Amino acid sequence: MKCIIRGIGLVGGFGFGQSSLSAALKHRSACRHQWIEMETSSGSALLPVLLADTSALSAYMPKAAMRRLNHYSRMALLAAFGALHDADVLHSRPRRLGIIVCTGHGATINTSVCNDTKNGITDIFGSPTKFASSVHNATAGIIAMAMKETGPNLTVSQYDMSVAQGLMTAQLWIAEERVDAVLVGGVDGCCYELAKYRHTLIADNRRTCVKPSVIGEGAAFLLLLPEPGDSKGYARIKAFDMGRLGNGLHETALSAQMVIVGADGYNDNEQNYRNLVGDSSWVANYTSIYGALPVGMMFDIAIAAMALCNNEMYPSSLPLPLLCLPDKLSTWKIVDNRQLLNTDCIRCLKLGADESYAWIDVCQC
Amino acid sequence: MMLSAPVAITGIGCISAAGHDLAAAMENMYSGRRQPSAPRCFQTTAQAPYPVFEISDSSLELGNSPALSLARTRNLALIAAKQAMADARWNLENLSKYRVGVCIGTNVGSGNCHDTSLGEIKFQKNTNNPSLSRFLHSSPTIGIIDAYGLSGLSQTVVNACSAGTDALGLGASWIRNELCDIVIAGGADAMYEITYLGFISLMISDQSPCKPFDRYRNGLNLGEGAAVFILESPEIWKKRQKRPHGAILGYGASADACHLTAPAPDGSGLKSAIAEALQSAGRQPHEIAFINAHGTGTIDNDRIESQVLADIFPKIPFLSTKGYTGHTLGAAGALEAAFSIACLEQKQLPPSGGCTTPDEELPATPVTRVTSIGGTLALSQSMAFGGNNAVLVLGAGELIT
Repeated sequence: MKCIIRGIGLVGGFGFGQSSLSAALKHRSACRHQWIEMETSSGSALLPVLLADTSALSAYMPKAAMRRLNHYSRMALLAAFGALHDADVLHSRPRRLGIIVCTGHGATINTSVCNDTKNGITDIFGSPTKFASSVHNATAGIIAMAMKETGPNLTVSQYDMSVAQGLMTAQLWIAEERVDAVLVGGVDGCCYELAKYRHTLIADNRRTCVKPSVIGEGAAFLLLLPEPGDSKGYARIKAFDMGRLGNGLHETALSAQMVIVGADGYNDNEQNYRNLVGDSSWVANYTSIYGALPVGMMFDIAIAAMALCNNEMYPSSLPLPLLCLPDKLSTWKIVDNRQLLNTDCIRCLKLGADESYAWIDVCQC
Repeated sequence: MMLSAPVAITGIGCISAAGHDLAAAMENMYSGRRQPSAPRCFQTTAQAPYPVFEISDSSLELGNSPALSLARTRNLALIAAKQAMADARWNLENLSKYRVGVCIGTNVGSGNCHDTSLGEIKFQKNTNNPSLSRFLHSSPTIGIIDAYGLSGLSQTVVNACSAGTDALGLGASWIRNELCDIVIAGGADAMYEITYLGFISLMISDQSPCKPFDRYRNGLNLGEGAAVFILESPEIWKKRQKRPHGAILGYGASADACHLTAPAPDGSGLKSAIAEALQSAGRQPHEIAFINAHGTGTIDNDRIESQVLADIFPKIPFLSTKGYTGHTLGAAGALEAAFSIACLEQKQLPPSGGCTTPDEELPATPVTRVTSIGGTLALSQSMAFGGNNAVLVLGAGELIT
């Protein structure tokens, strides 16, 4: 099961498109943060967040059609159109295109709108649109409608593992010849409740040794084509694995030369990253650039594909959100400057909150 | 499209308002019994209670299992999984040496099955709130992984009303592509106030017990439940001489790309999914013995689905079982696949639930009494919010033994 990454579409706190992300990566800095004020047991607190601007969507669809779209769907649509545009197939798409949306929190930011009084669930009773927006697969349906694509349409949602799951299914669809191409992407939004939840993960665990990445939102989509075939592409997805740490962990996870670790500082899994990534590996982390969000792995895969295409690795953002392991950080070889790649594959590693893990190897075409 | 090899179903577990397990549900359906009532698991703010097919709390008991304290959807999935594992003769010990995957469809059970927790998070200052930990620990997939100590592939499908069908189709694919030896696949969803109010707001809920394909149908009733299948590679079920209940022969999926909350008027999306499912199974429409239709009881769904069935499967019997279970959303496709396998085993169909006066304006209407069937193939189809369509071709056990 191998496929080529033919197009990449991105939107997040760094801006829209590869050039925006690339600039943020090179400067190790996302755009200016915004702030969410929240009430906590110790008083008001201001929490920085990286929010996405979707105004560029007007280049792909009429403003009238955008009017009733919620922010979550707009992010996904913008990245999805961006991937098709990048692949130069915006107007001549593959015959049967599958669409897969991966999301950690799903439409929670829309569901939260339904809970907008202290009495709990409220005006959803009078608002079919609000209800429709709260259904997890609405966004995938909206993408299909906007693109008039009638191929298989899937939404997967299992927190940090959603991206690996969606990519696995994309490869299966291609291998079984169900589709000619798959538009697969990750999308997660930020809202008050989710930000507060993330904040609580740190506050309740008193994990003062960790400086977590700023909370983010955004979407990253890839257009995947079968391999062999069109050899023009950024990179290919060569291998993957996922499961639970322990019995399910394959030793190959230890042997990669270049690893993008998806740690964002919110899950208590530094020790697991330590165990999985060997001293001989080069390590990079970019979560502070695109922000902490469950589908961050899709951004890492896009970054890996861009790096492989340019044969140059982006400098890791520093400090890594893994400060609970000072001894390990002194032995890891962190990519602290832009450097030529010394390998033809990059492993993207994501560890979840529930001892889950997933890695995906992105390799040169 | 590649031809799909059959994937054996060696265990089935299910729980719904129709019955606490598959045998009880089939017995009730053959007898035409159904018991919708006002919702009890939440205090509704709807002015008049719409009937639902809710599972009694006594059926949710799991002894001293910690699952008792978990979210309702996860609890339902665990009950169905426990039944399926016992049916397939698997336990924690003999399962551990195999690559076991878990693929579950759900809606409520994927992060936002916390009808009150979002409000609690928003308005309570105390961050040490049980709803926060509940927030990300409601997944039925993770519940099954935890309960059986599994470490293989997993996936949570959130394709609304077709999620259970999709999860079974995808899980079978994992076996065919040798990613897993065994897959625990199915669907689960609990009653949920946002969904309840949402369907009322869409004006597609019936204030009386639902009547799919009936002349006087006026919408759906929501339900809750779970169905879990054990899918096995041929090497394993043959080696342990476990006779399969049946097999997943084909799977097709498509998008209407038409409307978010209503099916495509010409049924083109459903037709495409049916064609793909039949093609992947290497079968023709005339070989199908019966169809378990999506059959929600809404005016539009039943009209369009009836037209599609009349076009592709003229004179082939069909039924809707949602008149016995209500619309169980992410669980529906898996429950209906379970009922379809049971019908193939028992070689008869129950009367279509709630259809006492078939709508003469529909080009095809369902069976209204217990009906014998002669074939070995069934179709189970789902049409979902968002325009998703998913179809399974199911075969009797004798086809692969």
